[in-house]
Amino acid sequence: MTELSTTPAGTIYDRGYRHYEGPREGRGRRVRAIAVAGVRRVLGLKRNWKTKVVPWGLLVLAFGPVLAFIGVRVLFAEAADEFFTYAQYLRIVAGLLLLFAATAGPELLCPDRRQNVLALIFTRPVTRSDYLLAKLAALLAVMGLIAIVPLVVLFCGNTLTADSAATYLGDHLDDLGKILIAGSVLTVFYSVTALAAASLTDRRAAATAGYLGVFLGSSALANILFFTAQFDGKRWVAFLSLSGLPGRFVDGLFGAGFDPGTLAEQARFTGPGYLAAMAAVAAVAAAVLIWRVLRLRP
Amino acid sequence: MSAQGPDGRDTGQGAVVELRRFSKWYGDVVAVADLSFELRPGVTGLLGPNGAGKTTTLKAICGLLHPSQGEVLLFGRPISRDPMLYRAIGVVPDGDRLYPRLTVRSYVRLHAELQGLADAGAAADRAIAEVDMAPLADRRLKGLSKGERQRTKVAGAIVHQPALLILDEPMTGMDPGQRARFMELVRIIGAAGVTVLVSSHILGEVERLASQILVLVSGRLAASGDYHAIRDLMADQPRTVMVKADDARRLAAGLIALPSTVAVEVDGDALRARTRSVDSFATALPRLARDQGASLREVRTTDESLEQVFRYLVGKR
Repeated sequence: MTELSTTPAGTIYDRGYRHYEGPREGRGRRVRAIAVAGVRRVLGLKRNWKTKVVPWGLLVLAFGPVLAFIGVRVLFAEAADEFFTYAQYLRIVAGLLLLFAATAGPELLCPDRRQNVLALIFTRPVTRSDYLLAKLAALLAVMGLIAIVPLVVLFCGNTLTADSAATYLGDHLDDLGKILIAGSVLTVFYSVTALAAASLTDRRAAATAGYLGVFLGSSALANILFFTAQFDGKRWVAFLSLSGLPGRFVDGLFGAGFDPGTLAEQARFTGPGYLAAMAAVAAVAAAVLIWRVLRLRP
Repeated sequence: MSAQGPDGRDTGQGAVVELRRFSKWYGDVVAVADLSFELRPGVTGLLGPNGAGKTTTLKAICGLLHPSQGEVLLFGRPISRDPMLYRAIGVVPDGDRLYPRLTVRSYVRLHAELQGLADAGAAADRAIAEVDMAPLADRRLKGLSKGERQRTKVAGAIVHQPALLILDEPMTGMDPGQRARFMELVRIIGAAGVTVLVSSHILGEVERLASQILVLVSGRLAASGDYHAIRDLMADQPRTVMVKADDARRLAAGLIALPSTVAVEVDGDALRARTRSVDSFATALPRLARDQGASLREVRTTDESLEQVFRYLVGKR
């Protein structure tokens, strides 16, 4: 075996280079560092205005109506429930989440491969699971901001502007629980599926287009199959509609009922059925995501 | 100087990096075959033509690829089983691997945070100052020159003051002044007991930076050690001696008659002789000069450079 002698021949410099002997923080700090960088990236913080247009536009769409309702109630003492129920608002939010996930998921994963920075990340004490956890945490945080916070603000606004806040709270406390459950389920569903789609390519545009295409295309395909084809058990095609699952789950959870004549109404599945379908889709997406991230080669 | 462990403390003995019969192949293509060497503190240059296996070797040391055969040990342990070893390693990969929209400070700070440093901001500022980037600390990376981006990458690699520093073509894009300062920094780091492995295709840089070299050719180790010593071992390679004398042409006629002389070229009052034995040439030259009444003004060998060593080793394969 070759052994290189290392006796320095020549000048010994002493300019103060020392090994770091200070304290080191643990895994949480590393994950947090990547997650915080991810949140900044997704929201376009400290970046030019063009990167802020989509995320902040969607945030305005998510929060704007809520703040408008509360303003109307404060000014005119109108009941916000007369304009929008929580279930209706969640269905709007589900659409925004789809758009947000389609852009944010690729923004989190694709540039790392596109810009060849994985070698920099994985030559630090960062494991593949740290990396995956951090990226997921970043997307969950931002998606949760859209899925849960506006509804909670709406609930608080309704409570505080009600004739009797205590009465409203007592009568609608279960709604708060449903908001938190529905918001969390939607957040996880869209986050995991978006990251899975982003893990399949290093091109953001391709990931975004592919994700939206699969979600919207699956919904069109399900409707075409259901209303034009004749075969036994065709009601099961309701589960093919990826973009329809969240809204139907929300309607089921809040007992809102499905619109007459729609696939959802005729398929006669309930909220738990759609929740199970979402869980199955999310599980497959998580498996794809883990497989892809563990195979990342800088 | 003895090796240092991942915590930066003196281990007393043992190699920092050890490759044992390391081989890597991709399908039918062998990138590196049966490579064995050890690295200890100080600066070592990794040389080789394109496709020699330099990057594959560096990636294996960094744990970015698994050996097809053999072992790669850092501080006596395989890095694939101990990610915490990365706390002791600083890596500057080749290519432009950066987040273009980050500032220099935020980029280096991110790496300090990934290393879990308690005061990431202070560590980042110190590393930025060490690579002379303090005046540009708040500039975005995408607006920097290639040399400035390279120095930023180096700052990210040394922010945690590692015991092992791996630099893949680190001086690409730097201007001469930046190169000189960077080489001084690397020498300082090496002299401080850090094991530094630098790959470069610019032989002049490695010559000034590292007395120890590893030469890879076609995926195999062609030479290792002090390059002057390697040059001395190249016994079958003729060496060139330049002689200035007041009657060079007559001296040339005498030199060409020596059995060890391969060729002689005369240019005015200088001659350039290629000989298979510098020793016998040096013994015969004064005698010839005296016999022919020529006065010697200068005698020196001209192909002692690392480039000559490298050309010889590469050409031999």
